[in-house]
Amino acid sequence: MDKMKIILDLPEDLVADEIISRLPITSLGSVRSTCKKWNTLCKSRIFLGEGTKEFLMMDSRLCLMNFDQRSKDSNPSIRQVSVLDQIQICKVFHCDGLLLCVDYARLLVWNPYLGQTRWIHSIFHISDRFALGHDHNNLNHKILRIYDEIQPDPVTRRYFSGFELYDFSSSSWKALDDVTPEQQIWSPLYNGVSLKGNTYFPTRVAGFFICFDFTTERFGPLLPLPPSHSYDDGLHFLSFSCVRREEEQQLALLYQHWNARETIEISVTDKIGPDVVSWTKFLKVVTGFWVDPTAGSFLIDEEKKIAVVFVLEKVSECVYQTAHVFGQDGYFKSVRIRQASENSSSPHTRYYPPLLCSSYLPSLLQLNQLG
Amino acid sequence: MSKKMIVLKSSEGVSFVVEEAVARQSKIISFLVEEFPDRELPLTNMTSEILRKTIEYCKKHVVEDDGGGDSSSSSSGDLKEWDVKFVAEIDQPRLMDLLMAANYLDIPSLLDVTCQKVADTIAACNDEKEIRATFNIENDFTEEEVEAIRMENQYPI
Repeated sequence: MDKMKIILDLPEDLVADEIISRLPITSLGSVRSTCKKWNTLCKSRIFLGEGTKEFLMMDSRLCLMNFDQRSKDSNPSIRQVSVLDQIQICKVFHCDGLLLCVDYARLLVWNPYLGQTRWIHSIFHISDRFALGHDHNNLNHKILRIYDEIQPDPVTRRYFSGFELYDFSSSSWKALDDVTPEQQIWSPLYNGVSLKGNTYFPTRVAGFFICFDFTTERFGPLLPLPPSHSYDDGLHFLSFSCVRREEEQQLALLYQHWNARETIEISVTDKIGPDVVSWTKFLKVVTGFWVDPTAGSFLIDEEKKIAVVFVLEKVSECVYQTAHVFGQDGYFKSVRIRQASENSSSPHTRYYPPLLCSSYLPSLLQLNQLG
Repeated sequence: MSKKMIVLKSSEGVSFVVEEAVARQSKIISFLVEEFPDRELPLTNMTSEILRKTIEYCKKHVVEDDGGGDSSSSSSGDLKEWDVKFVAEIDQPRLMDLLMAANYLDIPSLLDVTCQKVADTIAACNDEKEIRATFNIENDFTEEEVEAIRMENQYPI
């Protein structure tokens, strides 16, 4: 007679594909801690669980937001990521499952799925902008730092931006001297959005945006924004987001104009690369109120035809971190995530709007094996 | 019209006579029946007990072709209820055997219900200690490793 089988006698693929894959994501922690075999198994592939997960920065803390896709009416559930409590995050950037967190003096790259972190040595100013990316085969990760000179150039009397690139394989920074795109200096208000390893930025050139190509380590040509909008008077607001269409990533753009600020328009790319783009209209919503454009981070669900815009909402004396959900035919829902806390460290901005890292998908990239 | 019967033999050498339509829910048996018609099919890695259980499941789930299209012997709601009861009555070692049998014989619906039962059992555990106790798994982590895993598992996903 055969010995009684236990679960560890089952083939690993069967356990992973047919059993662990059925578990709610909340069980994964205990499954990993059960035994070495299962810990390895859980790290060898990605188990997603139900719903979409996105990271959201609120009041200097990273939060994990769970969006249930099954119903349009379900509220986002938000959970604070407690492990990063020791750092006060002031900016966060996302690229293919890795998060670059900036606190007031340090840079931290984090793979939340594997629970790995890596500190990056850097000297920077708090107003600097960053972008996380990788070369086309996803082997080598890099960080772009963009800084604005405080003093104007003595000859041209113009202020200019400087560029530095950190390479994970060499663990070092280098200056990028010859990449400065002429007149293509974007407003520091806007952050770029990374997709497929490259980062896309709005520019000051009316009607155009630009891609930093992490493989060639330079900027691509000016790329046209959706032609249906007006950009000439400069009274518009733009925000980028990344959207996942099956295996592909596409860029989404939220457009608002000061003269029609009760309307938001969202377009999505059909094709996007460092030197190619084509746009399709996604959603136009007359909101009936002014959706604060400086908040601007958003996500869209193409299947449900909804857009979720994250804003600060002022209600008499209180300020809330709020998610507005807009859909077709006047569908609107507003979810107050929580009361915003006042930021004491900055004299200018008293409250920070929630900032979304769009299209998070877990990655199995081992941070400690890079470089 | 008499139904075509086939013979399946367990590891103990016990023969089970089964309607072909019932046995054909296993893709492996379906294949074997075509390759070796009119032969006894030896299933040397399945005990009589597990083979009996598997046949019981297949009998319940057989879709009878009565000429006017497929019709299952039970409604889908009843079947679901029956499945739940079926796996609930099996103890854990036998559930593992049955799961392996479903995998080996390639019976997708049986594999589905048995795996779901195991997943539900894991999900119902409060922590790793309970999982280990439930599934008779030895803790092979050192104290330091447990601590490291605990740190990692504070992460959200």
